[in-house]
Amino acid sequence: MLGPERKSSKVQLVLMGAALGGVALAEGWPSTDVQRNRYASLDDCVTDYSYAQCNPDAPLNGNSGNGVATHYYYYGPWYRSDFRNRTTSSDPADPGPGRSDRGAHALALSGGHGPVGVEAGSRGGFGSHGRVSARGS
Amino acid sequence: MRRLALEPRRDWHRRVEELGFDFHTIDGEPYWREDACYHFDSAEIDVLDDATAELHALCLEAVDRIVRVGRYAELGLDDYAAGLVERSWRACAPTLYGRMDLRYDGEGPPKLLEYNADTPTALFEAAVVQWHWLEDVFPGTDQFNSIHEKLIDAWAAMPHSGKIHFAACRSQAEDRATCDYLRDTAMQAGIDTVALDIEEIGWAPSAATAGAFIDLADTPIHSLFKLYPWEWLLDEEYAPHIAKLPDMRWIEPPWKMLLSNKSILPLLWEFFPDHPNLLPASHRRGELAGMMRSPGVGIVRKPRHGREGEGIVVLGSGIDEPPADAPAVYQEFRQLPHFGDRYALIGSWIIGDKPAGIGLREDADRITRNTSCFVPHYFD
Repeated sequence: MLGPERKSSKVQLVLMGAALGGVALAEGWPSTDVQRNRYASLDDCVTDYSYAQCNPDAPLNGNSGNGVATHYYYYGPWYRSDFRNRTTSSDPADPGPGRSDRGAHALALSGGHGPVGVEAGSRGGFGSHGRVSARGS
Repeated sequence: MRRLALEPRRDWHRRVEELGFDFHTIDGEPYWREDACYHFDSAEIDVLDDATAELHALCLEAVDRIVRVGRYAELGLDDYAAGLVERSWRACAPTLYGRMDLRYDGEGPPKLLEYNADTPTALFEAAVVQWHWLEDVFPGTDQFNSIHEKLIDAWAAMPHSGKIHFAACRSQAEDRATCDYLRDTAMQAGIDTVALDIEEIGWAPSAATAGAFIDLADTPIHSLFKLYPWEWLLDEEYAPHIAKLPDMRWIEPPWKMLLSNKSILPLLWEFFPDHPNLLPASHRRGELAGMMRSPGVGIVRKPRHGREGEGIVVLGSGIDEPPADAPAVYQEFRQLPHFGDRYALIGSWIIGDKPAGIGLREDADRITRNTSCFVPHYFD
């Protein structure tokens, strides 16, 4: 008597294949560092972003030791640091620098105080070995 | 186990390219070959299936023993890597896949040559391309290949929160295809996915939280499939951030570092001496000579982290051993079965915790490399 087949009963693809096209990334290497705006208050932050995008956090170089209480600020989302230099249209998923970046006039109309600082993140901290060697095995 | 000469499908280029297989020819040389195939009988397939399951069980037992007594130094792992291994092992972080390279000629037990447990490739051609070849060429026969179904099942069973990110060196065709294929199967399991290059991963620091790895849309990455070796991740700028995120899921998990490392071969032989699916192995050549059961056979030296045959040296008698530029292990050399002028290696896939199928690569040289050809198989 024959046993069950050892092969897949069907092999269909939803992403790969010529008919559907390959995966096209919106952006390729090289990419850029990121940053986020720091605000003195939630009200100032929501002038630039939505409530959902504003979160409390402490400055990376803030004092959190020696019994000194950490001072919390409100932070907007991370966005690409090269937003001013980009010639192509922005990634729609990137939140950008916030409404206050449009200048003093926009800031006055919005009623907010704008960011009190900017903190930097980074990209490219993985991948250096991959530029020179095979990865798979 | 036989190698059969075949007439390739007249439109095979088009057929495989329709599947998204765009690296069937590499640097003008064929990588996918269907002017031949390998034929097995069902008893031989049972042997391969059983040996793969057995070896997987041995590997899991070996990981547990290593973690319990902390034998990380023998694998070249420092305290930081060991911490990641222990945390992921104790959390039962699930594995998705791995490929064991086996020496098998249809007679005698399959022997484990190495375990590509972290970043195995040759997956898409094994799971998809050879399956479609079978449907076209030998439609009434079977193939040891349920990789595709088992991948979808494994993704469906894998715990994750929200989307899974898929990172690879996307400028490399084979890596991109492997990553995209796995992403395809994850999507078929109902998972929301995002693809990015490994270099596009960002780090968003935070003083109040642990920080987060982020994607190009600045979204935190909670679950990451990475086609990028652990030993490289741990040697790069972002390595110190990894331990800050104990809840982040890595696929493959850090404990796979123990198995993708060829220093596991001497440990397996120590834990399970004379096991029929293992070959004697040691970190010391002189010690290995005393372990070998077959007088007169050679010794092969393998670098701890070599890939695609890189750095492998067969040491014959009377030949001075060339200096090694990296830590290496010594293993009893068993020549691959050869059919005409072709040496054949079996890559046996584990998906989740189950044997799932095989892919064969062959070469005119006795060492299988990234230039070796993939040849399909069937059995009846």
